[in-house]
Amino acid sequence: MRNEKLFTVLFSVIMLLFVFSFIPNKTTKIKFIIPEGWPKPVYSMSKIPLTEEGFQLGRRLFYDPILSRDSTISCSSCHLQATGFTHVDHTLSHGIGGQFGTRNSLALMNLAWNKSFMWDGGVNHLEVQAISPITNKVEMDESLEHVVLKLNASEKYKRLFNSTFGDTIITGQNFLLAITEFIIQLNSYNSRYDRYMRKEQGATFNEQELNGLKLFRANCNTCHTEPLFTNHSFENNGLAADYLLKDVGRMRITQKAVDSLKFKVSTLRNIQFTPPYMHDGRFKKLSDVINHYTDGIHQSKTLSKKLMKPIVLSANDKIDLVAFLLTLTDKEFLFDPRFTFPRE
Amino acid sequence: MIVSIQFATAQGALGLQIIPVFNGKPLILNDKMYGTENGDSVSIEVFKFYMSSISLRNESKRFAEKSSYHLVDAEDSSSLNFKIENIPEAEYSLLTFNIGVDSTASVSGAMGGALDPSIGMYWAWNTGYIDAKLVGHSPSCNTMHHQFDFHIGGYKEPYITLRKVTLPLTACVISKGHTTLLTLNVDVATWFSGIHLTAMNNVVIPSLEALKIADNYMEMFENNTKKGGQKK
Repeated sequence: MRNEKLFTVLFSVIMLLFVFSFIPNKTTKIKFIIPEGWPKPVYSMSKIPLTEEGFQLGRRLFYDPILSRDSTISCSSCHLQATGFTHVDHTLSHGIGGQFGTRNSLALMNLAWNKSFMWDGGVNHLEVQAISPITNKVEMDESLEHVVLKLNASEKYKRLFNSTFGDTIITGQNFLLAITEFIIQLNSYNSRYDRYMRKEQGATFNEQELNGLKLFRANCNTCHTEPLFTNHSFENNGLAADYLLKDVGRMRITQKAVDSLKFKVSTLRNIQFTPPYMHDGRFKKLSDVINHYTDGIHQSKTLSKKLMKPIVLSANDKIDLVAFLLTLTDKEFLFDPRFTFPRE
Repeated sequence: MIVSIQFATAQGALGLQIIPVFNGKPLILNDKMYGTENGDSVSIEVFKFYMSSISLRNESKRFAEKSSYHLVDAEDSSSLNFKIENIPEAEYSLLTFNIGVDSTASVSGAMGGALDPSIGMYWAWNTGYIDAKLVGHSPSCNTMHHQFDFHIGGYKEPYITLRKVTLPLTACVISKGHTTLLTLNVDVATWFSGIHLTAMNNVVIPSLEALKIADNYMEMFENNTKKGGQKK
């Protein structure tokens, strides 16, 4: 009799444990903020859980060199927070074994508003963007299949994926969704420009900056459209192709001659901290960039229509324009502790 | 008083058995040499493709499998046999499906299951699915290890490689509680129709050559179901 009772109790406990193992872990929902006056994001967020757990998992993956073949390179190797999540000091970004790529890494911010990714728009969806640097021979030189294998061999990651997705088996899909959870939160909308536009107390522009804004709207805004400072198009901005790289840009993807020498119009937010400039990083200073637009346009068949008429700026105008561009610096974003290397 | 009661339609299943062949003979990977119609001798190392949007129809009925994506891989015997369930009872006269993945899937980000990008049927630099892959070796190829690589895909005009296949069925009766078996041969030899491996041995981006190969492999299916052997 006593045995029977014991058995009943034991059985109940086992059943309870069994039932509990099927109750999904508690997760904390987080918000995706659409700044005032901004358009709706392009990215739908329908597949990602939008939870604190997912965000922290994505953050961990972003900073983990496990994504590269020899565990030397992480996403953050070329996308450093303090410099707008890009690689400074190098004309072209370098990856595994110190090998150089053919382009300057792009700054990561406000990605949910982008329609396509990379300088040539070859990646059509934010969730699959990470596959490109992981599999690139001179970046991380790894396969997605092998990354998934390595993650599945890690008890820590199995636990973290389980608490985010309710599944201890890590799939390529969930890995990509976790990375996406983190990078869609890298949003910059608290620069002095933003505060000034929102008429926040204490947010002012001096005369130089006001003139710079006027000049910007007259000469640059068609492509670098506010508030995202890009219209997400591809343009030939009058840079002669490098003699060695012979990079045709967008044409590599579309295979159409009309797209020759066209590259993504990149955002100007945090531009102060993201040198060098242009797809091949040929300009080190903002003044070099402005001088290019006034005096350095290389004529070619696919040159942007907006650059056919020369941009005329006086020496003072150029100084004012730079002064305005510096108001796009968002220190809150560049030093946000939620985006830094995750400590255990 | 008239009481209308709707009964759930009786349903059965279709079992698909895919048999990779070369000129009608069972395909042996790696070790066997085969002759193409243009006289190239080849061995096959990788042969895989997506079958998607599988549907069955007759004059009055059409059944379409939901989320219908299957990766068929000559190396993975479990991928060569799969089952489609919940098919309404009827005799069906046509089987239709696509070779490849529709454009919607190619623009929808990170997908799961057979479409998980970690399976290796996905391009990273110019995103989109690879519809079908054939990799092998031939002395005709003046390449490293005499290898030829056909990674066929493309979802944007003018290089769309998705191909629709329609196969007539005879006596394909789906009945409640049964799995009706269909055996389909897929003949790798069709890939090489009109192709000289000396000239074309590396087709790995959406291109005119990819379209040519897709038009070729569109013909690779043959219904090889033995008469009277359909019911299990």
